[in-house]
Amino acid sequence: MKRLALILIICAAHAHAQTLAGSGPISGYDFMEPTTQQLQDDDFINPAFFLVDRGLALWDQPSPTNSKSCGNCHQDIETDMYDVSRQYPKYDTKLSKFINLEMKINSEIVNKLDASPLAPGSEDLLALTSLIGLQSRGLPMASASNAETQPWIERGNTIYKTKRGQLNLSCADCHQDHWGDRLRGDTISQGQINAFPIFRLIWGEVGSLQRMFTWCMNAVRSEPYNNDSDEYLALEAFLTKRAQGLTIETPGVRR
Amino acid sequence: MGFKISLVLGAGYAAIWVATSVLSDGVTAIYALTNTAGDPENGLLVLRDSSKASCLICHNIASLPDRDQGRIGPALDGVATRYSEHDLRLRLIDARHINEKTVMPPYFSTENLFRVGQKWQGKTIYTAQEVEDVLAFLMGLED
Repeated sequence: MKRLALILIICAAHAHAQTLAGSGPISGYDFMEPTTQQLQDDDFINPAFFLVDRGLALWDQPSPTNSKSCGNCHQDIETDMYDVSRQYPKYDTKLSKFINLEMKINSEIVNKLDASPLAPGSEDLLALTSLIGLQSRGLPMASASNAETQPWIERGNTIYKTKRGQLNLSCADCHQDHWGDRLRGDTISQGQINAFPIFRLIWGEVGSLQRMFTWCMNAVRSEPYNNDSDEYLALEAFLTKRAQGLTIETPGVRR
Repeated sequence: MGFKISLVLGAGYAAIWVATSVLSDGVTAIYALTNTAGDPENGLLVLRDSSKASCLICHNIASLPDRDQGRIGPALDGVATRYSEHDLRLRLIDARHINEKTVMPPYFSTENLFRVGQKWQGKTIYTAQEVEDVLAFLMGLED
């Protein structure tokens, strides 16, 4: 009986490995401990939802200059913001530049609410990004393969594969060539970006995708790029393409 | 057969001349980095030190009780049986001498690195003596 159980376990492990070895992208969720997954599974205990609530409050907060709020134009968040976040990063024809969701939020704050832009990584910007991102939860990650986006994807691909820092490691060294392997006590994930902003346990708070980029670059002892730099935008464009098809989990919980 | 001497700035800013020579088969030969023999006991401390990019992040040494050892590189048990002291030193100093695309960080090189963080610029992961100490410990790992 014990032997049968052992064989079953080996078969199950093998089947699991087969699934993981499949060609499609795998969410970081699948690499988390069950206790971490449970935190994300329940919106009532997911710590990132404190920021979603804050986002809801900000949505209807009148601007100090012109008394307008996001809610004046976008009254029903669930309908009006449905499928919005997954269109980014993209080339914005009105702004004539390639931008991510955070930059779009800030351009709206500046142009429509006549207010100061929110600082990258600030709680308010994370709150609005989480709130809008949530409206695309459950949809598959998508990447615009148009002429404006393509050069950004290609540049991001190069950045992703470039070894850097004192430890001389590229993103691809770990997240493409060694995902599934043990790094100390952790299993290296594919570094997919389908759950940002995320509540990260080791940060003890919600952080942006760019904060994660900076964290990784510091980890390989490399000089990070600036927030909203072309390099980070390119990396985001490439990683969005790489995650194509993965279900959006925003706001996620990670280790 | 070529011969070159390169200046390496070790952690703590000690400048060390590393004598290397390129053998006929293109492999670089590197001699002991210091005149002080490696101390295997200190080598183990250095090897375990997570602030010094611990070997155990990626490698497993079954004879150590440390939990959560990595499995990215090959296990280091019996490594002294498989490699000569010279070859192991070469791998520690800069494994790119053996495989240009290696994922093993160069523990004693400041050359050909891209965008090294300000805090780490011009510094090596290990000092020369730390290379020799870790090497002394590894040379004790025989089958």
